[in-house]
Amino acid sequence: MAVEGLKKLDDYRFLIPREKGMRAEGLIYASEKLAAAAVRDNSHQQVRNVAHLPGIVGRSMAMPDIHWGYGFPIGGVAAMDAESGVISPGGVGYDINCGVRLASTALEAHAVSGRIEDLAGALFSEIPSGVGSKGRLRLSRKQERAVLTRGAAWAVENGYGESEDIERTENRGCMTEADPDRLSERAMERGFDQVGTLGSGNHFLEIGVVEQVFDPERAEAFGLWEGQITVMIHSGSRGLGYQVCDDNLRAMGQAVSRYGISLPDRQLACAPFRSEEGRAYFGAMAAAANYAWANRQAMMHWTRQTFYRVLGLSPRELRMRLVYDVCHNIAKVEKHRVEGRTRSLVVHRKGATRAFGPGHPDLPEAYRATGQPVLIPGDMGRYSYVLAGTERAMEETFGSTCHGAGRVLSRKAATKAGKGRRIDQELRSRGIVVVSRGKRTLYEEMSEAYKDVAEVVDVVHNAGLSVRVAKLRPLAVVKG
Amino acid sequence: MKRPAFYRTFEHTADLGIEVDAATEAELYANAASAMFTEMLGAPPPRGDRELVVRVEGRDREDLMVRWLNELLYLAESRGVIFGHCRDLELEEAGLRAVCLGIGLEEAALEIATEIKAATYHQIEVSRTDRGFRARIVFDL
Repeated sequence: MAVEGLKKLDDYRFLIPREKGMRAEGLIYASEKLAAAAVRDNSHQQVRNVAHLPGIVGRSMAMPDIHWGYGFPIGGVAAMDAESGVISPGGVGYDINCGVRLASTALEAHAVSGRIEDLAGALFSEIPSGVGSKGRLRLSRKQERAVLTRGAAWAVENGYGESEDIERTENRGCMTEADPDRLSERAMERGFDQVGTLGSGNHFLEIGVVEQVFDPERAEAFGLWEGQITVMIHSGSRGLGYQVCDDNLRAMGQAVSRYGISLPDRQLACAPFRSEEGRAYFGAMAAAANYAWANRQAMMHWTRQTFYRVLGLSPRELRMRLVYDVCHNIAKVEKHRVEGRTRSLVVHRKGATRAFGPGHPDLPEAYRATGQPVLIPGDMGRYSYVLAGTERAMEETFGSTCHGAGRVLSRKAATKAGKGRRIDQELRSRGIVVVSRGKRTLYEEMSEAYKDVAEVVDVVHNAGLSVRVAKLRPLAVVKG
Repeated sequence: MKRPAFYRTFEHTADLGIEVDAATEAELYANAASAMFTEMLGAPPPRGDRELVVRVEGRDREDLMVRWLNELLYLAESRGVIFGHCRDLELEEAGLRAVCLGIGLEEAALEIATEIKAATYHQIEVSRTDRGFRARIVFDL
């Protein structure tokens, strides 16, 4: 089956040939079905648009969870030369360092049998969620600057976690390029009271169980086993991150013509990475990324506390350990081999996850042999996956892979499809307890609104970008 | 939800698009604000009595629209006040000045049905029509 406008290279790779204005080819990792969906929602055009950006190295890529975004498609990956290329806030997204962390426990599923409702209810009370939710922490300006500079380490140093958590967070939970002085007063105002809040929409906190292990050796290294209770947290940089993106889109929108950059889409506003605007954005983006890591770290700490209290367990009995924390909206300066030469690149991952392969020096010692854990949340009614990064990802996608399921229904269509239904009861009949602040959220986030993440994972596994390690099934979901 | 006649939504897989009409350019910005808050609240925003003068600048009509709506979103989050109506909105050389009327979320027991992160530049349009003016705006949710 041909997919219009795309050249099929193999069962999982679809090429967009270089056309006028494009500085590189495009490449979509997808099955035929997912590639056709990308054409239908026009997100393949966005892959083309990204290929116009100055300094792009290699191809403009998209992962199989591709769908329409702002500037870059969701699922977009593109790397620019750090000396001569640009940085683009549209290649990161509004929710800077939106990401996922997975924690394992010493508990088997039967240990929480009959207590899931209590746990879910307690987590719903303890961890602020919902639109514009205010946190338990009210930071002074000095504290906020420390969060922006130190990230997850700030949280651990202030009693919200364990030092081991830092080791198992991407970038050790801190981008050292952070520059809090680059944040507007408005961004600082929005951030002082949202550390430790879940947010709303597709953010969630989930208690799950390891349903299946595909790769026993890697699963063991990650500390995962069948029947084990896990916790997954999906959240980002909240209002502070959105403000940083908005502030810098504006500044770059003004700067674009000054640098002689012609864009097919205004939302691809960018500036040379080494320019004042580029440095300003990167410094602010890194600070917002640190905020998100502190956010997820604080929420995991309160999750541990809640488990201790509700189940009457000691830390030694619960042994809630961070498996890994990944970002899926970020730009990072990384070194990659390109045509035999090591180059310093600004790698944009927007709705895409880092998937460094075995041996990479940036990985913690525990994961050097296996490759990086990659956490791929599905929708709240089905399953999520744990994958591992590969050498092939390093060769082809700058060490990148997919990030989740991707929507297939608009929120409006999902709300319409859900009308009259009790989504919470439907989930309960399948053994999933859901607690949510907003009724509409349940409609918008129901399974039918999303692609089947198994299809997305199939592509990246078969394309060699990341290998399947384990599958998780939800038992309880807390949503804002 | 029964929407006011001056706007309609359009399908967008991940987020929200609105198309807004008005007889005058100034009214277009006021209507866009009202439409945005209608989508946010799940109902037209009530008229409040808290007055605030809002001044926003923009490079062009489209940039001004994005700046204006994002300013109102910021005020909603930071002050907990929905400025969904304008008593007076004037377009100036480089922007607009509006006397906005707001109502507190808590005091009016309003719930936010849909969080809107930002108005985006994606496919933004502000144009003249036979009957006045039209804007198309996509919001990040």
